[in-house]
Amino acid sequence: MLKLTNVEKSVPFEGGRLWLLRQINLEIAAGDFVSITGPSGSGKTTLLNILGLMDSDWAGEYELAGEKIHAIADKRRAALAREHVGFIFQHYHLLDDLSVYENLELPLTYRDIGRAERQSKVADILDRFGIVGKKDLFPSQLSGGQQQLVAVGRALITQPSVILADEPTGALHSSQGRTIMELLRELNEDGATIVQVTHNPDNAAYGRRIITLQDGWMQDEGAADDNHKTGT
Amino acid sequence: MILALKQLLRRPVYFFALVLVMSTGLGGAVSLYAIADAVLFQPLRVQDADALIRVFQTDESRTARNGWSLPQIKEDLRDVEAFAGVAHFYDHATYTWSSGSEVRETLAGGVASGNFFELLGVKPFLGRLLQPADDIRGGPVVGVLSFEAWQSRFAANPQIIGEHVTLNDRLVTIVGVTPPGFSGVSLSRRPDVWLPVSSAAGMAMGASDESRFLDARTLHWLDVVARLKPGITVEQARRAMEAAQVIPGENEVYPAAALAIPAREVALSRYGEGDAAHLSWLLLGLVAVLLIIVCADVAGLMLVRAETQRAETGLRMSLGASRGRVAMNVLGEAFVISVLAGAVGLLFALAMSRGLQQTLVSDLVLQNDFGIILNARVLAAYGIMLFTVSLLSGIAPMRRLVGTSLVKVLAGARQGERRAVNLRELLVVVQAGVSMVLLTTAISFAGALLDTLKVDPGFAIKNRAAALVSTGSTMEDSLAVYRKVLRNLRADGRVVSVALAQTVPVSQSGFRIGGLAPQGYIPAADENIVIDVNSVSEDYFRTLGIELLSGRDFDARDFSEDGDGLTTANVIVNRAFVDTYWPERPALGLTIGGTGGVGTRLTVVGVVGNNKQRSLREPPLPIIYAPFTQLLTREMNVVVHATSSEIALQAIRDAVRGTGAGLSSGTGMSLRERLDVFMAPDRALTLLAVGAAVFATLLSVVGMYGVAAYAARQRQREIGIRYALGATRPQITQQFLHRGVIVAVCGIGAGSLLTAFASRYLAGTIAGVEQSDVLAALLAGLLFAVVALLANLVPVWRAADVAPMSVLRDE
Repeated sequence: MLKLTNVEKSVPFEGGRLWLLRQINLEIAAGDFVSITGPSGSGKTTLLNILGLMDSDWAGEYELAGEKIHAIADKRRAALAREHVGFIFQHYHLLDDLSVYENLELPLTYRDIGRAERQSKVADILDRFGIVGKKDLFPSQLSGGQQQLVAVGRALITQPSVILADEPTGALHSSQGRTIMELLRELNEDGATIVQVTHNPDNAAYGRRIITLQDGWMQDEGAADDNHKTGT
Repeated sequence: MILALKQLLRRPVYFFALVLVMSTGLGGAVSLYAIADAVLFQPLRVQDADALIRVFQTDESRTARNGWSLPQIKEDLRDVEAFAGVAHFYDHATYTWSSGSEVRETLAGGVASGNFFELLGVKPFLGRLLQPADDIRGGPVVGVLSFEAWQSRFAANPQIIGEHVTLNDRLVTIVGVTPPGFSGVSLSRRPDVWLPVSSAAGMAMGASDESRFLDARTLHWLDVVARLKPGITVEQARRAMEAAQVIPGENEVYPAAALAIPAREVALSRYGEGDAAHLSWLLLGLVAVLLIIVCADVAGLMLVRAETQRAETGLRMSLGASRGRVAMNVLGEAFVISVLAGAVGLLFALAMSRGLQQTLVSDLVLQNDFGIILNARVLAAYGIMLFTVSLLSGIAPMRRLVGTSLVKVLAGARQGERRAVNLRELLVVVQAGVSMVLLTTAISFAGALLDTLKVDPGFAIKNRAAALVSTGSTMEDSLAVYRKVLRNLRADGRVVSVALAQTVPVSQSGFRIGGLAPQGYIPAADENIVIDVNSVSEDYFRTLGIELLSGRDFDARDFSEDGDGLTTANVIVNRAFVDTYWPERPALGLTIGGTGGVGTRLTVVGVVGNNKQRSLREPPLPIIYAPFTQLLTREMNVVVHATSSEIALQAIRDAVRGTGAGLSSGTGMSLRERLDVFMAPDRALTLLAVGAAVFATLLSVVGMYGVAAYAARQRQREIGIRYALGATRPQITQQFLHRGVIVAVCGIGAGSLLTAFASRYLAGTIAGVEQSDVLAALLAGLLFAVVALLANLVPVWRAADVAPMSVLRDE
């Protein structure tokens, strides 16, 4: 599904270059659940942005769903991102002056989907996440957990093959965080490929694989413990 | 203050934009106000103009404003209780000045009573002015020069006092010079020289029998100005005149009463062709529009800034800052901006008022010393404008900041709910609306002007010139002088043809006769036939290239030596006359009679084509051309067709030399120049309208751009989110633009309504401007839409050039 080969990223710094990622080789199969961990500044979010096609300024090779990302034009990359990727952010990033319904509908409006189909898909998500009663509320009228629920729904609504989550529970208290993580696991069990960035070892354990980054370098990959299997 | 300045300098673009918008807007507004102030509030250069009234005789309709005879003034008006003083004058005279050169010059002349200047409270610039001691019948004639004539005609010679000049062949002793800008109580006439009524009435009226004008109770040739006693109102003066039985005596023409009207009002309502009062109200309207735009601009920018300051304000309040302190902080910034913008705006106003003085005043007002200066009243108005703009534009942002909810801001909550319209957008709608009014007006004016310039005047212009020749002597001698001038010109080999005419087209002035009865024409019950009459010599039509359609031109048999005031004569009419009164009859040989039993009998001997007479936009007007000897006046235009217009003018100068006739300075010009001068007010008004529209639109664009740019920058997080959700740059641009376009369209709609309202007052301001100019409104709407689109598109497109990961990460 995703394959990175010798991917590197650097930025200009004091006359030289500052390396953010070095020689990343990573393959993620369809249906996998990967947690990326590491200390602050280790390059986790940078890697996630590259995976989500939000960053095109890097070196190396990257294949997504059989397409060579490093060799295609920006326009095609944007189209692939629309087709395959759903994002979940730490700070939810809902638009403040759109209602819950409109926030959910937003990604569909960028994909030339007709009004009737949009309504149907939004209704499905509202129903699935149990937030039908909140569809007309604005983000500021929701709790943090509810906002992240909407953000997850928004990421799923286009039925992406890959869901990328950047500290999805970072702004939530523990019980809300657990709810979101359980939701991600359910999605993964339903077939979605999930890549999450997290500091939290408990949340990292939800992944089938855990990748640790240190100063931009990928450390040895470890398998998740039984936590993932038991759901405790 | 220092803190506020530091805060502003940290955002130089915002600071610069605010100062630029405020200073240019206010500078422009106060420059326009200065003109309006000069014309509306200080039109008369006299002492305490508010206490001066003009007194007229009127008819039963109370609309006529007629003058008085000297006996009436002395017997009836001097005793009115309400008056502190009464003076009389006549300012429409013309004197020929034998300046030593071969061609006499013409001076605009006036006569006045000895107390005239004293009553007006005017002090001499040099020497003395007329005084009661000069009111000696048949005494030596003394003269007072206007400051402007003294400068332009007498080289500002300080030794002029006591010198003699020859006016109308009489020696006049110059005794003084009026102060600069003084034009009596009229704005349309400014005599170059004032003489006493008692000794110069005959000179002023071109009559050898001076006593008629001093003694006849029925010759109402003098204007009257009176100064009210302190505390007396105009209404009280009217009642006082009734009490004093100021009514005409037996066998006099006017059966009704006297009118008292404030002198300022009379001056403005009678103001020349440009109608300065109307212009001034237009200028005040423009000032209001500019101020609205500036307020909306500044408030919009400050509101956007206030939005970005809310988090900082919340933090300050959480650290103990009171709401009052927050308000002071905002006001401090507003104060710094106002002071700077005020100073820069004043410099801008100084430069702009000079430019306006040269372009507008000379063309519109036709007198170039209106003294557009930033006097105390103008500066006070500027201060008020500055304060008002600062206050109005600062209130909303201050309220926004002072009303900041600490809890919400510190919790990071943004706008809790969507608003249908926010204040910023409302301000843009207001800006767009008023800019639209100006744009529509400008397009409408420009369209009308262009149409006018394309009009065929119906007469030839090329190689033609005309000049006003004044005989200056009595009527009795005038005819001989005119014939001499004609003879000289006909003998000139450079001249193709020459003619005399009372009125040369195109001219608003002219002679009309009422109560005429074209033979066989049955007028409607309430129809009073009033027709333009132009008295001309033979060859007038040939000289101006006006086609003779039937009959003949005037010839020697039509010009009798003793003109009888147009009672029996051969006349020529134009096609419009025939079409109006005799559409189905051959006109030749038909007569035009008078309705009141007067023995008028004008026989038509020719029919000529139509030409534009009073304006270029008029429909063809019926015109009667009469032999000039029938309506002889002391001033006639000489029209010459030569090999070039310069040669034509030179030929006129050469022909006048040695005849005793004078040439009115400023009137000798080619017909092309005459048309240009005629069009000057319309051109100047159009220039003003276009300039104001461009200025206002630029201000609006700067405001819209600033608000859109600032708003887009504040929404970069949203842009990043949208990118992350799959939006493309065009989609984001379109999304953001969508709102801006809706706001602009609302503004255009509001502007259309405002325009419909304003057009009622603008119709007819220049020739051809109609009340509902739909095309101009559509064009203005389109133009503004394009400009508004660009003003929104550029900042949004630039703001959309952002890497989503950078803005989202910054969160």
